[in-house]
Amino acid sequence: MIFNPGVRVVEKKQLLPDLFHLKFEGESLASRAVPANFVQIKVSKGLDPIFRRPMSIHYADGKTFEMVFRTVGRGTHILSQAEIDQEFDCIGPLGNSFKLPEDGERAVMVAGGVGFPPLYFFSRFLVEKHNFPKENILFLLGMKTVSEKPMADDLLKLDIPLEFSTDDGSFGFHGFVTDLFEAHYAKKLRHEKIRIYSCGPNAMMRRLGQIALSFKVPCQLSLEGAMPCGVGTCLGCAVKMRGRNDYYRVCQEGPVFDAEEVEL
Amino acid sequence: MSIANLSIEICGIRFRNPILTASGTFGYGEEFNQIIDLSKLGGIVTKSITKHPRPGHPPPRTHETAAGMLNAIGLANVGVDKFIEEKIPFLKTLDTRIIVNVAGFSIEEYTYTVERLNDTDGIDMLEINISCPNVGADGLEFSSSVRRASELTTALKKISRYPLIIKLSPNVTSIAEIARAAEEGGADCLSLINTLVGMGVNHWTFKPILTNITGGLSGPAIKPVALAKVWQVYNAVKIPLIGIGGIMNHFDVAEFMIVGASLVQFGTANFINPDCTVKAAEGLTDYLKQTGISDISELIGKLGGNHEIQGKNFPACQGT
Repeated sequence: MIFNPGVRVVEKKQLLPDLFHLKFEGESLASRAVPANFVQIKVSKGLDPIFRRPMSIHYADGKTFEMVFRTVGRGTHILSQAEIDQEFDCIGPLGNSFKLPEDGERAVMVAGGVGFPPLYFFSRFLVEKHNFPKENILFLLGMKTVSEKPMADDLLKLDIPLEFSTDDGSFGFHGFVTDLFEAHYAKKLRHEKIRIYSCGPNAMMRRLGQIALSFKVPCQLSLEGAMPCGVGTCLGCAVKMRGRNDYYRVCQEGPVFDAEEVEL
Repeated sequence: MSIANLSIEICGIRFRNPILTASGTFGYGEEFNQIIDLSKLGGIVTKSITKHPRPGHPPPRTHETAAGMLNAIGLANVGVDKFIEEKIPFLKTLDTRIIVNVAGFSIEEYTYTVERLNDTDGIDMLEINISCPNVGADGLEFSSSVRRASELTTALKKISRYPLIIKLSPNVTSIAEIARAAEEGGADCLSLINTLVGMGVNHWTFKPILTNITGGLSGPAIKPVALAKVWQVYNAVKIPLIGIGGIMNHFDVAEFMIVGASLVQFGTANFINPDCTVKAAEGLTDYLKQTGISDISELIGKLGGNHEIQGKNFPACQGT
């Protein structure tokens, strides 16, 4: 973990009215980042909002790191107003990472909406750092509607097998991304060795975890949580341990958990 | 001018500087040991320890508020046995004072935990949490009744090997009365304030934001309340005080000392800037130089006037 007093915005894109892509320069942080890591960024110098915001790393290349986020509240709104060359106080990289697929396994990424960044980073990491065959990745991205398609710009450039679902059926499979997985792939892949990786809304990951457990397929979930500190001391980001009356800290023991470890 | 003296002695124990970390905001020290140099602090106060391990409340447990936060963690901790076995060995390696915070639901539970800690080295003081607002009516029983506060303090003072700090709640009619009861019961020191009871509501779903419905409010939002309580208690007792409540920087430290605190604890600020305590310790040295004070203990209880600054130019007061 690096306590980094300054990272600098070097690129900014607005993908949708409420979806932003920022690229930061910050070598000490970027050079250590692996998929599923996150940063705690202070979006305001004052007390409004008072806490840092935990943000997934969308990609890191050694010198720079990127984040893609939806504006959902005051913190992300302020971050969306960031200007080129603006500096932010940022702690990271924080958290654990995904287990690598074993030999001969297909890596199935199941992303719900703006939960895709850690899975994008992981897919790219597998291909670029581990020479993982692109055709052995399957990326499923669930969106609300076709107009959200710009969120997949970077994914499309990766040139990996990629399928979409939309809640309203306006693009790709009609239904949730978990339905897409269950209807089209769960059975088809039954005789293949697969490993599922997921990030998205809790309800989606809960359902996916159930499907994975019923098919006895290894499945890892990247979680989020209310995270005032991000370094393991406030105990705010608690997630229930499955079958035990105790909690993990998403920021310390996670954010990646095996589906059978947690109760969402 | 030589470097000002930042060290403070209370209850026969010398602290490198007046800066401690507040219970529940610093774990058992392990996480922060990777981020900051703990030997730069006066001491650390551990998460509350109870007789039995406690998983804590289901989430949501925290809620960000205007200049503060609500929390209802529910005294999640490993329990005293595991604390002694797994956490004390690490705490012993640290070059700073160790204060163990003890919580409970009955005099018997507090007594059990204190007796277990009596058998353990590597502790400098105990802070008795009689005021956690997040564990039902029981948790406030000792902090809101003069008689019960006195009974608990007397019982623990009889058995404790270590000096006792009683941590007071602001959620009472008269904090001065409770403070006097603890002093008469034999408390060596008082720390205040614990969090203020508060709550958050979702105006769309009509649901409480915290699973526990109410939680404890902390952060800069409560600093003016905390200053007033420390000042009231300073005027009511003779034992030393530890000021807590929204402290973010060295100016806040000075303000709490001026109203009567000998030491202070940083709480919520640790979540925002993990190095806030170290920076504040550095800032205090500059502050003393600016004010011409050679020993930080000269600040304690000096509300009313600083004759040192007469005729000098000072920047505007930067309190948060």
